[in-house]
Amino acid sequence: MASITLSGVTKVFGNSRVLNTTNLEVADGEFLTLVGPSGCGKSTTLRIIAGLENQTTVNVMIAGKKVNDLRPSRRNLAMVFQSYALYPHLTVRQNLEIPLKLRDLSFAERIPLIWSCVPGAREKVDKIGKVVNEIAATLKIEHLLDRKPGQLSGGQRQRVALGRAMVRKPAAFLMDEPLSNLDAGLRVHMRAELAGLHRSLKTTFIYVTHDQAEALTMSDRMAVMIDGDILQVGAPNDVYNDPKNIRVAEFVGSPKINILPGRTDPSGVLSCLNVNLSRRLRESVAGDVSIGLRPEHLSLQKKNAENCFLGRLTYKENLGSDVFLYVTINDEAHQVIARATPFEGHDVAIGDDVRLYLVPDKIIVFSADGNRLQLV
Amino acid sequence: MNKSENWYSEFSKHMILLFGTIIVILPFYLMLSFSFKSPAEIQSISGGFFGNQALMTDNRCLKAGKSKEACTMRPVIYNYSAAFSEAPLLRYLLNGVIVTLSIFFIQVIVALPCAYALAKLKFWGRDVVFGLVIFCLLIPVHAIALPLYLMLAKVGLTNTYASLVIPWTISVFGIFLMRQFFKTVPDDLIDAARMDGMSEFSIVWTVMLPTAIPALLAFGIFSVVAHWNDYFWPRVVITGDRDLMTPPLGLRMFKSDMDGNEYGPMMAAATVIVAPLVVAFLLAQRRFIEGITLTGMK
Ligand SMILES: Nc1ncnc2c1ncn2[C@@H]1O[C@H](COP(=O)(O)OP(=O)(O)OP(=O)(O)O)[C@@H](O)[C@H]1O
Ligand SMILES: [Mg+2]
Repeated sequence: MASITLSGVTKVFGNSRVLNTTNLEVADGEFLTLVGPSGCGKSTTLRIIAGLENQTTVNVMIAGKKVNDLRPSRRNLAMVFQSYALYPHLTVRQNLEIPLKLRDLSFAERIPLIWSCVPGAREKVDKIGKVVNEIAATLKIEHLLDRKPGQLSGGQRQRVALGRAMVRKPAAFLMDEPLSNLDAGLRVHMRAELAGLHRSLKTTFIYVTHDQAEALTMSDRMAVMIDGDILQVGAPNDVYNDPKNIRVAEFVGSPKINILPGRTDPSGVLSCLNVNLSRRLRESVAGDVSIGLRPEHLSLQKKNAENCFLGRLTYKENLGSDVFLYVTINDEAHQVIARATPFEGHDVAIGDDVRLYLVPDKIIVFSADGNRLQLV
Repeated sequence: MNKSENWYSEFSKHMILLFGTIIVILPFYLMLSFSFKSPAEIQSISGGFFGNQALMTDNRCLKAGKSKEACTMRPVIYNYSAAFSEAPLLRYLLNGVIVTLSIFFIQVIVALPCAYALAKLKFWGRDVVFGLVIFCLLIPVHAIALPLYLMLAKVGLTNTYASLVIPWTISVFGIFLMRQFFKTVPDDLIDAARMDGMSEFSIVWTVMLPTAIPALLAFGIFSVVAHWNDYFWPRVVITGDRDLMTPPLGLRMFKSDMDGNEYGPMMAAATVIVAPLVVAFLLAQRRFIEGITLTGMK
């Protein structure tokens, strides 16, 4: 178990800067997800922590010790790869044994036939066998131990890869999109299992994903990374409800947050399109702002009222428990998505004129350069 | 395409293939057939594939003062026993095995780490080194034969096994082939091995080697066939010592030893020398074809 700290880490490949100065602190025993769109540098960050990639500038600390120059195997971390990266020519049992054999046995003790002559080797090998059996039992893969990875399904391979990471009892687990090769059902199932595993192991997990659902459901904290910058770190709820940056707001949440143009009048009162929101900014900024509205903060309204957009329904997305309404606002330039109950959704048809009520309390305001602005 | 047209094109395709097959098979057919027949049958081109196998008397055996019974035998027995008694065929075969296997073994030891470094490690000048490897593929062996010979002669290695093996131990073709194959091995697998605590050398031997078995077999076939059949280089460095001769060289010596028209024993010797390769090919046929398609060359 260990805390992990990145301070001022930068990574440059050739001429392109992949990680801007990155600071990240992961507490001991924490489940932190690193989430962001494809190509933003998540894997690179993880590989720097693991020691597989050299950071262009300093500093990685594990459990308070600087490990910049330590080889990957000496950092006592375990990594689960997206492609699982199991040794294809070895059986599941051998795959699980390898990390322990390399760590605990001397060179002579690893040579076939010769090892049995080395004093004390048998006990060590027996112990490794026992650990492997325990892990296999935890992950319910005992019946697969004699198969080769090629003879396993995706989910089974995933478990074996997890097992290989677990056998060493590492200080922290690094996982790079371990669930992305699984089908949707299995992914949800494994999500729960991984969370359970974290609870029982109480080890630090750093989990990389581009799937925000995984980040929102599994983690203690999530770090949102976009274009090589970690823009916000916080509990999933905080990140969702209180994004610090418009790019974070746009990335987190599905369907995407609605962003509409807004203005502040000279007295500092906000308006959005033609709707007066009667709210003020804490620090008055005159001019254009962006206003974010989550789909659940827009609702269908029957009668005319304040704070309403008029628009035409262009598309309905029925998810069973919710219906998402795609509405083109009457100025024809903006489209918003609103959430409705199935009951409400049933009442309107595509092409209908609708009225959307917006909850002024819930609006999230960003300045023109994308930073969050607080309301009074 | 209607049916008769289809039939016609299939027919002509097969005729062309058949024609090619005959051209390829014919020398082997003659070799095998001559190794069965008596000299008279070979001269008169009669007796079909096996010959009549009528009893014949060996004149040289009579001259050597043996009884007529001892010198009378079936032509096939005469041919093969002459082949083995007139030349140390087994010795040649053994030499062939020693030389080809040592060459292949050392080639693998050199080529795998090189290929791994060229495919998976990042170091300054890697592309230049790989360019040199490609460049070396273009150098024909005959061009460097003379300097090689001079060097070996200077250190006194001619007429040794070493002179047969050393020049071939670094195979740029092997490095190139394995490097192309290693390129297809996912980086994650290597990173996983590093996380597990393997050194770069043990990655080569315990991770890359097992995944590269198909490519290695393909390379092995090319290497073994090329060096088993090589006549040029053994001819250059083995000058006299019969015990070091490889099969093709031995065959050549055999021809000049026996008087010109002993085709029967000569073909018997040729058959014996070709046989190991043919048998090996038949056993590894599928692998061999896989190997050729893998490398995209013939
Ligand atoms: N070896 C490399 N050389 C040059 N550029 C690289 C290298 N590895 C990664 N990059 C670049 O670094 C950026 C970040 O890559 P990274 O693999 O960290 O993305 P990611 O966030 O993991 O994306 P994904 O979700 O698709 O896995 C990408 O733009 C990629 O092109
Ligand atoms: Mg990635």
